[in-house]
Amino acid sequence: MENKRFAKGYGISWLTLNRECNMRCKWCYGCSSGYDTKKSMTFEDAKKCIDIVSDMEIKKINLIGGEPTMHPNFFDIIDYAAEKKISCNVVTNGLKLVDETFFNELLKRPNAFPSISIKSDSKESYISDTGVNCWDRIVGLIKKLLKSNKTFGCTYVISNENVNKLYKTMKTFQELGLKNVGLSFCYSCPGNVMIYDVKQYVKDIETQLKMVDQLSIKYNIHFTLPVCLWDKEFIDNLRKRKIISTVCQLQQKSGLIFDTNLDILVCNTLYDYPIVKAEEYNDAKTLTKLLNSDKIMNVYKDLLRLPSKKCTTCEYLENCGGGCVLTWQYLKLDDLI
Amino acid sequence: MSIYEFINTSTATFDFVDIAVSNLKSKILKSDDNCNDCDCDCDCQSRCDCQPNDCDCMNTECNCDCDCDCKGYDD
Repeated sequence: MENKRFAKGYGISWLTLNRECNMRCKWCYGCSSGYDTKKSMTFEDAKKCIDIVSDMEIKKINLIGGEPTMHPNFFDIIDYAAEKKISCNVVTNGLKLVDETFFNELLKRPNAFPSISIKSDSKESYISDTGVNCWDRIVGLIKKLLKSNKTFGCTYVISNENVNKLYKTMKTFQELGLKNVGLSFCYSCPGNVMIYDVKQYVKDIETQLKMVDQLSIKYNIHFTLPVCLWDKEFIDNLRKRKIISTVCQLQQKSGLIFDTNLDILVCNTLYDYPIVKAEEYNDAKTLTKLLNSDKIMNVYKDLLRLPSKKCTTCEYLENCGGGCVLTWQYLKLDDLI
Repeated sequence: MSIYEFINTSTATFDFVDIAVSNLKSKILKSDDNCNDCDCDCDCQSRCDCQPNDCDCMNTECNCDCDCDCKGYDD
């Protein structure tokens, strides 16, 4: 099968609006940025990114940070995207949305969709995991969103520390009125290894999800660990129910990630390793040419090396690709199989 | 820093296999069995948030252009 390259109409984009954040989550991949308030995309640069995204016929952007809702031009950026008929997924911890005025401003924007990253399931654990005492406010926000007619999503990150209470957490989410939650695995990133016992993590997730399946709340779950580490029946069950996703934008070479200074990143966690510098491109044409150049394609080839020869004969190769590349900074497959 | 500083510390050293990877599971999960008219065909795992004429894929990694002609569902 031909390897897809960056092309018009293919892909999705992320705009990193800032690095500052009003929480300090333990597992945050952005922690080594120091949450620097000076690292903030200017409004002019945001418009340039949106122009490029529009010219590349990409129809959706993810607004991320830091905490994107803290950006001073947050609504201006969404409005500019609306002019270009681009929808915006706002990846947020939700804290700013607690404010009634801010919330109503977001409701007025039909092209903006909040994706609330729920950090935990109680007052105590919110304080422990994020440093902020805001569980009641987040609960209030979720109830407000459920009553509104705004389309929104909720996500939850599973780490080694919270995996054993996943069932309890999902039950709490169900009691709040949520019907579906997007689950994902914690990223280990340079300086912050959050899945440190992979074998146990895999066992715990399998156990917990079997219990979660007794609840009425639904989920979909994005896998970043190699498929071969999991019980086949477990995977087949998720597959049959159509709630498992694998491979990421990096593996599919479909993501266009702008850092705050317009450097291009291969992955949101790899902000210290840009692959294209902002001064190397001006517009969609020069950027697309760069992304499709041999130089960049060779970077992807090296990034996407497989962790084992066993991968080449694995039935899941096309749907796994060896798992998330970040995993192989800290782990060896031989230790796991 | 150069991306190769990252690459060179990886334990994944086996040669790249030139394949086009794709998502293990494709169709959008409908949020309710009463929604029968959603014809979203994006290659995504996210749920189809069936609201009348307002279907949108909530997966941040999906590049679909869902245009669901859904009639919504009853609570």
